[in-house]
Amino acid sequence: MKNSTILKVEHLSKYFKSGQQTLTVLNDVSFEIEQGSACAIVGPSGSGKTTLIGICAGLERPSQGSVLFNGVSMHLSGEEALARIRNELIGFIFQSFQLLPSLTALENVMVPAEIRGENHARNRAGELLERVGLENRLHHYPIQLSGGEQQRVAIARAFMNRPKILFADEPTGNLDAETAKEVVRLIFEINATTGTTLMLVTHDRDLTERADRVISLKAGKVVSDGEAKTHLAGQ
Amino acid sequence: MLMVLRKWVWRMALRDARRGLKPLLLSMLCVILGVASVVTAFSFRDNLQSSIRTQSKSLLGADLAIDSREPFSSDAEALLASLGGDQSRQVSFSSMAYFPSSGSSRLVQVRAIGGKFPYYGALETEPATAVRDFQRRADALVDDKVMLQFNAQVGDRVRIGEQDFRIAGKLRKIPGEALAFSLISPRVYIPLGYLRQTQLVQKGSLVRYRVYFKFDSHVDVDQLVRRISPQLQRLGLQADTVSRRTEAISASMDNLSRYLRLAVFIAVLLAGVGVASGVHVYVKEKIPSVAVLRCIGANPRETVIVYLIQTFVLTFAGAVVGAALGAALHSLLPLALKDFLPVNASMPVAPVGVGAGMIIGLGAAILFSLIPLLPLRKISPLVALRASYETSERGKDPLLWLIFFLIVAGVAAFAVITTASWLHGLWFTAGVILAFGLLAAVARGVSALLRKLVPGFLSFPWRQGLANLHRPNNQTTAVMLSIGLGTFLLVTLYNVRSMLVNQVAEHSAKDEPNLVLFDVQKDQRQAIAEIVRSFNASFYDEVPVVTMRLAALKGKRVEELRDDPASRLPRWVLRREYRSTYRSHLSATERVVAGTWQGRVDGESQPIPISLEKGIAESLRVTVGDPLEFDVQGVSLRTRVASLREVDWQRVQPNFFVVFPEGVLENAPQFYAVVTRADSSGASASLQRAVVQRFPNVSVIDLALVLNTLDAILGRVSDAIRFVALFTILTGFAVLASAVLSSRSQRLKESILLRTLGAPWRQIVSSVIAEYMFLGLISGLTGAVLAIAASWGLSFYFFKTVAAISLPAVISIPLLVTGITVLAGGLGCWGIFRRSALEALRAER
Repeated sequence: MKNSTILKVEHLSKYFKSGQQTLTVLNDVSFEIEQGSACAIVGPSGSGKTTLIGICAGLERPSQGSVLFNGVSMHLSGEEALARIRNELIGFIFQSFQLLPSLTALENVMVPAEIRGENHARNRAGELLERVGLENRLHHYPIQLSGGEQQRVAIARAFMNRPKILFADEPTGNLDAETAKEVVRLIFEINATTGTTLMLVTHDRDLTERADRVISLKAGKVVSDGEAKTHLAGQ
Repeated sequence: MLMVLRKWVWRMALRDARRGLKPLLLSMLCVILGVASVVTAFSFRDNLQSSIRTQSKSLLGADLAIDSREPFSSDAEALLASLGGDQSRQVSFSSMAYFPSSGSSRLVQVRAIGGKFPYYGALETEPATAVRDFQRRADALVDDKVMLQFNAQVGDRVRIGEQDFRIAGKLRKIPGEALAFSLISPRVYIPLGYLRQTQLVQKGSLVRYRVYFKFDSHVDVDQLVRRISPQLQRLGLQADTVSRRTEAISASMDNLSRYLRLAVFIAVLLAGVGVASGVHVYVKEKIPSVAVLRCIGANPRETVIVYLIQTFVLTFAGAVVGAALGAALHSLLPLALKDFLPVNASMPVAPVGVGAGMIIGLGAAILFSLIPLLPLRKISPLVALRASYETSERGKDPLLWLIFFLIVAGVAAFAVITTASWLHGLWFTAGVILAFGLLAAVARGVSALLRKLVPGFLSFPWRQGLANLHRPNNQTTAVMLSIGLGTFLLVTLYNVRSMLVNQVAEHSAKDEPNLVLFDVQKDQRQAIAEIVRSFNASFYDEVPVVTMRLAALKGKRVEELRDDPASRLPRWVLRREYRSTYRSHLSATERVVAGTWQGRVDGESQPIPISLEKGIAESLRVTVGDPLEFDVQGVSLRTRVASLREVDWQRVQPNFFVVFPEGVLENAPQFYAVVTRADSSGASASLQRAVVQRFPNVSVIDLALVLNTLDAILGRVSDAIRFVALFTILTGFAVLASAVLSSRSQRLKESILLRTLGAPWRQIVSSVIAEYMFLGLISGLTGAVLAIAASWGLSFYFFKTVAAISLPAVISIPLLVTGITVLAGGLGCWGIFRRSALEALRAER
């Protein structure tokens, strides 16, 4: 599976203007991600991790540099094209789950497929929820679910359209240790069976351990990029 | 467009609505009120026109009426006889009516009627049988308002001239005449057979002679009139037909309908503001969901359509309810305006009104809702991760500017179509934009000022309250627009009323004449003067009045000018009887604006130098030096315009279009107007009674009566306008309520935090009161200031008089709206204050 580059980031920089000041969040970041691999992005708070995956996922444009995803120049694509890519090729898991509060668990998972115009999203959504252990909570609303259950719904939603890459921003950040373990297990289990590339921002050691590669950021720059055990040994 | 057809946007709209659409419900109320007001106004127009059409014959009361300002000549009688049909005669003139039971008298319009008139419609009297029988004896039908004024009853006497009549009935309605006119000139009907006994119709009296005709149904009256038109002109007669009367009344009622529609359109615009305000608060809560949808691949436009669908469904439902409400209320508008309508307006709802209400109301609601919805396109999916560092570029959205343009274009289109005038329509649009713009600008200015400057000496509750006016998601602009606009409308209404009444009233306060006695004959002058002096009234002047007609203008005979299709002179200036005077000096109410005043001529030299009032000169299209010829009861006088005068017509003194110099008309047949002043209403009433009892032919113009009449009419007009303005005011309240409730959750969080930090309830309540008091006061004062400016503009450009401010209104209305705003704010927070923080938090969840 790891026979091609799915994501290529070259000389990526991102600045924000805040009043009279310019804030450099990312500074000349470059790397490539192989298809099917699992990459963890680590670093202290404010190092630019969230901004980096935001740009890679097409949620934001870089100030400088390029992002090539699945052969498409994300930084040059229009909003409609990016929306289509996000719907068809990318999955996203948020730290705060970000479920739509007025939709049931089943409906939340169905939304990406419905946006795509699929008419049989219900069956697949049900299967995914069963896979994450929520077969009995299909018609419950997010407010009726625990944090771990909400994150599992979010995982099911992220995999609904069979994405080529899954971005996760601190997926276990709001969970207790036991639940976090369960969520990590789920993410990697689905990754193993579907071959989806993983790019995870995390402080979670467990999650970092399971990644193939760890990119460490500090003050917007890549300070290390290598195997997980090398990174963890250095800790 | 195809995006709207995608299933998922509809599904998403439906599912998202499960959380409740409460913030949009008050927006829906705004739509209901806006649509109801349009349905009412449009239905009124249609109903009125329909009523005028179906009741057209009763507008005239006959098929044809032929008028003359002189007794019908033998040739005229021959013409009238040749027309056939059933004929009725009427002679009408102004005179004093004296009520012996109360000793009071009043100027009325006397109509001596003979025949079966009205042939269509009916004179409504109480008792109803009075109209049937009164012509058989010396009975009279008297306007019920006059009877009420003098506490007269059926069976009492009324003296007209030298003849006493028994009041047979109260006159309630005359076909084709609005009730309000009876305030100005109350009517008294007497039998034609008793006219001579009154001895009021004499040479020189201002009398109108009229014949009414009823023909068989096959007679084409308009064609008949066209056939006899040359004869009518030759004989100085005027014809009035059903079609002409209908056209004239339709035109004036159409004007009324137009301006009603403009007035309710303000309610529609305010409803739009309410919708925009409610939707703005609603979508603010949806931003996280919008960001998530964008993350999982929703198109920017689709996210707007999801919420546009929700807004549309709710506003459509509001429009339907509004149409139903308008249908229920539309019958109230004719009732509010009944004094000014010449027909009984029918009640059924006009489909056009419903359609117009739905389209205009819905269209406005959708356009205004797009203002907060369109920026959803710009919501970055990154918001799902964190708040964006960069500020949104709302101001640079061309689509938003397009929406604003469409709104302004919509207002302009509506105004131009309604007023049928580009100039008036564009002025209205400019006025609306100015009012809304100024109010919004003041709101923004206040917010900006408070952001930079909150006086440090103010206590914490005040500082907290004022800070709420500029915090994110504040509703300052929406409240300012709703309260400010309502205040503006009401204060302007009171100011204009004050201005119009003051125009007349200011002359009563000074040492100026307040009574004019007309039709005083030569041999009555001395006795009148004695009566005046006996009541200690001040004798100001005795003015001779000579009646004459225009015979030629700049060398052309009046008959030629009347027959000349190229002549643009209005017919009334050629046909009218001129009541002129002669004197050597200018009076206190006039000044020369062109030429030279000549007060005296000697001998029989002609042309005689005369002075014309400048308005009549404009109508006659003459200027200094132009020749005119007058026929003074058979004697021809050649004159030349020596000067033009500007006359203050509002002064209670005899003013004249034409003034001759002394030395010409002293021997002409004439009567006199005596100008006097009574120092009290009691002395005035006694003087009038004494004059009328001794000289029934003399009429009295009483300034106090004029003032009362004006006030009564303006009161009726104000009531009608207030009814129409009610929709705007109610919509304003709905916007206020929406604004208050939309901040409730924010207020709850703040109060919980403050309570946790140790603030007592008293402080939190004080800050809410401070916030709404300041908001209400600023809004009310801004509205009042705008009203003062608008009143000045109206007085200067439209009424051409001195502006007047109703101080009670300018002070009390802003205070009232401030009180209402504070009350609304307090009610909106009800429940938050009475519970503990934790209870309140649970209750809100």
